Amino acid sequence: MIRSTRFPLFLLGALLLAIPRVGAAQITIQNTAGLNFGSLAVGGSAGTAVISPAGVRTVTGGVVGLGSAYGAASFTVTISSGSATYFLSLPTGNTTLTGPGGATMTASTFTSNPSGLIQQVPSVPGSQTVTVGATLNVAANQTPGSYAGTFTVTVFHF
Amino acid sequence: MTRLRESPLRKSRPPGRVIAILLLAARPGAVAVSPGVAESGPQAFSTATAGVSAHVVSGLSIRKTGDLEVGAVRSGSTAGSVTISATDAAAPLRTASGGISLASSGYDAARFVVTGTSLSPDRLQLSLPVQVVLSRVGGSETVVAHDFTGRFVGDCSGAGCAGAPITLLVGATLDIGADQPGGRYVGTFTVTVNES
Repeated sequence: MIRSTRFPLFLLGALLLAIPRVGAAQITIQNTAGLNFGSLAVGGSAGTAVISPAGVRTVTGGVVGLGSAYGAASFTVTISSGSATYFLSLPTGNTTLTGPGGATMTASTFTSNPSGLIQQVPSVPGSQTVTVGATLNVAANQTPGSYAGTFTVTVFHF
Repeated sequence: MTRLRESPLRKSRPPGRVIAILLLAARPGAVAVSPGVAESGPQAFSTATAGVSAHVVSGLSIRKTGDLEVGAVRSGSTAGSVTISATDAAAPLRTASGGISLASSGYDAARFVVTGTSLSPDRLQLSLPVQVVLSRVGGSETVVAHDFTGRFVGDCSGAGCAGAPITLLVGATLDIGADQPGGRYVGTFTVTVNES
């Protein structure tokens, strides 16, 4: 009799463990704006263009920023249930932008606002805007034209 | 005989211990659904991909090919102005107003040539001075030029024209006082061209 009552208890425990793993997503992230470095002039020396998470552009070296059409990427993180805390993962390496005739540039050093791995939505259910900037590495005499690429941001909910 | 009785009793106990161990292993699963426990591992994740873009232009250059020449005018007993207009016709126009009359002379808008390999005229942005003071050569009298206007003139239009040199014409209005002393008045101004 003892064995017949305890064994179903074990099964119940295993089912409860499985439910959260296969349930509907409690966190989503959506991209609402791309990261745009805008128009840049470059001559005989290399340089960089940096877009801050606030959308401010600064240039170094032989790069000159032109125009005002540039900005940080923006994402909306939404948590539907559970803890307000989540982990934010930005690209750690280089993202390649491809331009005319297969010419490339790389974007690196991704930064976000709010910054850091551990993030928190104000309340649950609720959402939070995360903006992302990066550094664009421009070579001397970089081939003129339009360049495009993609990068991925991942959020984890515990 | 006593040994034979003991051994069956011992064999019956281990199954009970095994069940107890399984129950302990199952408990953490039940705890996982209660809120606030972080040791249960990731329950969800989500990814989003964003575009990243940039537009590169080669080093833009601008070179002056001609000065803004207002030409000869006569001052009068009342103030007036003379305007070089670069915005309307193919050739710059010169007009006078107030107490100023035009004297026969040559005149022209300032001319610049803009070069850069990815240029197209509709992507160019022009910055002109608000006003510039001209001083009389050999004297201290001044006149003021203002309302600068500019126009880009491409030799062709459309996508195929990217890279072709573009001419920039700049005009302005010069204010001349009543009985302004005669002489040659000169000044300098700077224009800036950006490509967006």
